[in-house]
Amino acid sequence: MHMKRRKKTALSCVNGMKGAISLFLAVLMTPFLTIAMLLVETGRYNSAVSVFDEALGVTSVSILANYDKYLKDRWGLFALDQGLDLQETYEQTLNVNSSIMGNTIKVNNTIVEGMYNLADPDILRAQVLEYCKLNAPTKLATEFVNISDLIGKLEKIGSIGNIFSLLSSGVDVLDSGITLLESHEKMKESAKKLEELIGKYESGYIDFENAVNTLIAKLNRIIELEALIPQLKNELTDWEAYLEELQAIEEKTDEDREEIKETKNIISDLKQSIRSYERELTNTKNSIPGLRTSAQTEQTDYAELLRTISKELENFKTQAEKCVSAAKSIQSDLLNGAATAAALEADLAGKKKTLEQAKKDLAAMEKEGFSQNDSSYSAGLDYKLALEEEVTELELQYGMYNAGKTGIGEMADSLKTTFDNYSEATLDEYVKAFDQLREKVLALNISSITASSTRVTRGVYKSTPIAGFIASDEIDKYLKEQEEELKSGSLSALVDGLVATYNQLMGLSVFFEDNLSSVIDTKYYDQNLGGLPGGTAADGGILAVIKNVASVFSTAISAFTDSDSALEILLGLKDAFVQGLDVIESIVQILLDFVQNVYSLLTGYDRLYYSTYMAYNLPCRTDFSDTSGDVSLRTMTGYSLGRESLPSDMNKPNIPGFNELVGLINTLTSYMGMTGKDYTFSGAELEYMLFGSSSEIANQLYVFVVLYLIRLASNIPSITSNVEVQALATTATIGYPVVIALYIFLEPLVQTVLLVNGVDQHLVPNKVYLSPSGLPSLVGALYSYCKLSEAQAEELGNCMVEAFSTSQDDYDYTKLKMEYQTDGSSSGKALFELSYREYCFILLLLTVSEKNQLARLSNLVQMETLYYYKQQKAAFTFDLKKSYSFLSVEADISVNQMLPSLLNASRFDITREHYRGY
Amino acid sequence: MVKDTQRGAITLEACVSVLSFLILMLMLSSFFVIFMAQNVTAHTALQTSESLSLDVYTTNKMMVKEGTIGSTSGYVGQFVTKLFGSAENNPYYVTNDRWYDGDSTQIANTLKKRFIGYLSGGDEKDADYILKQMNVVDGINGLDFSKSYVANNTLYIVLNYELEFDFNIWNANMISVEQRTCSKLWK
Repeated sequence: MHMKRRKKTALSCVNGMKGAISLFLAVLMTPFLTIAMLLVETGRYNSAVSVFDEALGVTSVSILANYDKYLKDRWGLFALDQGLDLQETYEQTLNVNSSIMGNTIKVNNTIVEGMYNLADPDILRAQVLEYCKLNAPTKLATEFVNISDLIGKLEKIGSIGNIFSLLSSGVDVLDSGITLLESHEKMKESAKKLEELIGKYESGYIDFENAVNTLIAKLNRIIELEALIPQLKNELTDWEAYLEELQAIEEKTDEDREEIKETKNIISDLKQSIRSYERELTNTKNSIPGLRTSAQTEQTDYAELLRTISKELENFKTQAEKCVSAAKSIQSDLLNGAATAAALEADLAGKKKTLEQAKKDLAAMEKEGFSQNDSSYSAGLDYKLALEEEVTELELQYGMYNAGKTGIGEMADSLKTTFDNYSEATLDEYVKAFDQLREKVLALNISSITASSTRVTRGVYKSTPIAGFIASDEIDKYLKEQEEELKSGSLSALVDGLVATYNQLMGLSVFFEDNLSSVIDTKYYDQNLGGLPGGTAADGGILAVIKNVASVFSTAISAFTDSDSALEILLGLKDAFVQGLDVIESIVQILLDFVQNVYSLLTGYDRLYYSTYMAYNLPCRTDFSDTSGDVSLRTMTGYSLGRESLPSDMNKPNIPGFNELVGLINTLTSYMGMTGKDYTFSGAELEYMLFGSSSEIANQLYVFVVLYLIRLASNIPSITSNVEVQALATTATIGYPVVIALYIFLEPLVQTVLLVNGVDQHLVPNKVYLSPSGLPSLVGALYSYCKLSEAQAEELGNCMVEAFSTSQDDYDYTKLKMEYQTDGSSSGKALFELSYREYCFILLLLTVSEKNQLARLSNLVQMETLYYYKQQKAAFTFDLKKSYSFLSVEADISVNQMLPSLLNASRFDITREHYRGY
Repeated sequence: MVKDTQRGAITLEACVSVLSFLILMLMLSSFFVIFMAQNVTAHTALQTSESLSLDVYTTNKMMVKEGTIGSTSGYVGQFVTKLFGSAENNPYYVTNDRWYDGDSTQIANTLKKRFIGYLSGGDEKDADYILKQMNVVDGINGLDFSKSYVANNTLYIVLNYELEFDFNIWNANMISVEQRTCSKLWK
């Protein structure tokens, strides 16, 4: 069989349908599979990248777990530990975490950097707020009742304007007292002049009388001589004729000769007499013009003397009138607008009754369940507060009236005795009589005086005696009595006691804790860390105001203490009072400006949060314990500051005390910008937050003074209305407003001294330490809290004991002290009493800006943490600028593939950026 | 005759070729499931690691020593507990135990519980189902955390389990998987 050979073609390999399916699969399914594999690979890739991102996240969180333990525990702040090798640790951890996908991911390169350090105020603020959002409310919940009460009280500072006006009326009373004494002084001078004039009156009259009467006598003499000389001449002629007759006798007998001799003698005598009389006549005639002039001069002098007497009597009368008028005006000043004392008393009683009723109404509303937000309850509350203010003012006015009345009563009694023999009408008559006498003297025409003129006699020309005025001795006696009263009475005793208390207090080492006297070595920080993170954040705040206050206060005190006469004392009191009142008013105004900002400051609660953080995390001077010799504080973050946490300053300054408030301010300013040798503060950090000086002493003193000013301004109503202070001031009579003013100055000073030494104080306390009942507690507190010996405390207390003994008959300090020790020395914080720390918190809220708070906080964190790590002998120098709160990671990775053809393809390399922080 | 000799060739070829391709496809699918399983367990392990390391902070600072740390912290602890739930209410996400001070069994148990929490929201049946769906041998019981440990305040999670192929026609061996992650404890 012959088989046909088949021709070979291109498709000759195709054998029908054989291999079609394989071919089909090979052609179609291979790309299909490739695509499928690619999709799988892409999925793997995406998953791997996603897992790597997670690994980055877990690694970052793991690295962030290496937070600085001290920063966290002490400050509640999160930042990476500066002792960590960030790059190496991160890479190691990332390698483990990225291996979770086996060999899928290969990390080629990683760059890790820290960012957002705590020296950045925004970061610090964010962390502090983050911390406080949970922690501050619980702290505030327990403290805010007191704090809101305090802010409420501060808001009332503005409502004491009427008290100032009332106290100012005290100056009017003083003015009247001063006028009274000034008039007395002038009256005394006038009386002295009048007494001197009595002698001059006599001598003046005698001179006048002599001059006139001599003139008249001389004129008469001329007449006599003119008549005598012719007679003598006639007689001479007769004798000469007789002599001639005798001589004509030729035979003269012895008798004749004797007769001639005698006649000659007679003639000689006559001639001599005639010559003598002629000379006398000539001389007398010549003297007449001179005698007339002299008489006229004496007449003028005498008339002038009489005018002087008359004027002096009038002057005396004027001064006497002023005395009486001053006494009367004191009365009206005391009433200060009230029609009568009875009206004032009735008004006070009425207001007190209304106040009681208002209180009862409020109590009833509270029982019925009215809340403070209820409008009617709120209105009732406002009404009660307004009434309380009115009652306070009326009590002050009434107290001042009563005190003044007593004082003026005493003055008036003495005045009455002094003026017993004085009569204005009588004095007027004397003035009139002297005027008439003078006219009479002047009416005498000297030029027309003749020998026959009437001689000057006492009965006519010295008829009126100098009388009708009060003798200078009497007035002097009155003034001495007043001076004695002022110097040895209650006023002087109280003022002396208060001033002595001030002087002694200023001399004590109670204004700052001398164990906390570090001065920061700012040069160290400048040289090693480029400066403190917050810079030099010291801010004077109201320092300028304080300087003025201290200066005026010192002037006021010295104005009083340097006086020695009654008038000078009153003038000193007035100056002190006026200046003091001006100062208080200016302080009140400044504080009012602060307080008015309270609610705007608290908007959004952020300020409240970070101020709470500062106040309850930072140690202050009251945390220092004498017993342990260290600061001890459990902070809001739960950290216990103890012996090792802060340095113990070994170089205590030698400042035993201050002579004056000015001295304190001067010390404050001199310490303010100092550079020392300390890395951090010893414990007065909260004070640094308030002032920002590198000196702990300056910071403490600043806080002291600011607290003093706040207490001074806010305690005015409570001091002026305090029963004991009013009673004491009443015993000071016209010195009532002065004593009140001294209390306004000194009581807050005492309170502030106790407060800064750890004795909790209500902003507006009910008790007054410088009062009879408060003195034992003051002495006790000084002894217990202020590092004073018992003797020192008692010595300070004794300044007031004498004053109280003078003012109160039944005052028994020993008994009161025993009672206090038995009942009144209970410890524990009373409701609404605030500690030093809480007052600092309020100051932070009101006076320190957010910028300053954060800057100072960053400085404190830097300093204290640096000190801590130095103590720990850490290998690094802590720098807040390197305390990172965020991580920035850049990782280059390759994802290994299943498909060999795609190995090392660039599309499987990727760079991932990652940020993670606290 | 020719026709007879070619009859069934396509069918035969299809049987061989298509089957091979199908096997290939199924193997591919198996790989996909394996990748998915690894992804899921890796994600869960990482979350477990992060969660447990952070948990320590709460335990240390707020829960365990409540009353001794300070009242503020105590309040905050109570607040946090109320906000996020307590260990009693949600044991798969919160623990009050100091597991990191315990032995390897306690650590493994804690890890497993948290792992289940992040895998299925704390539903063990669901977790078991998910794991079995991903061919994890023995499901939840097949997860082995026993090699995990805490060293230098760092939690090292070592997760071992076995995966089987989705399409195991040749009865191939199981794939043993070990996944590691570490995270420093927030002490």
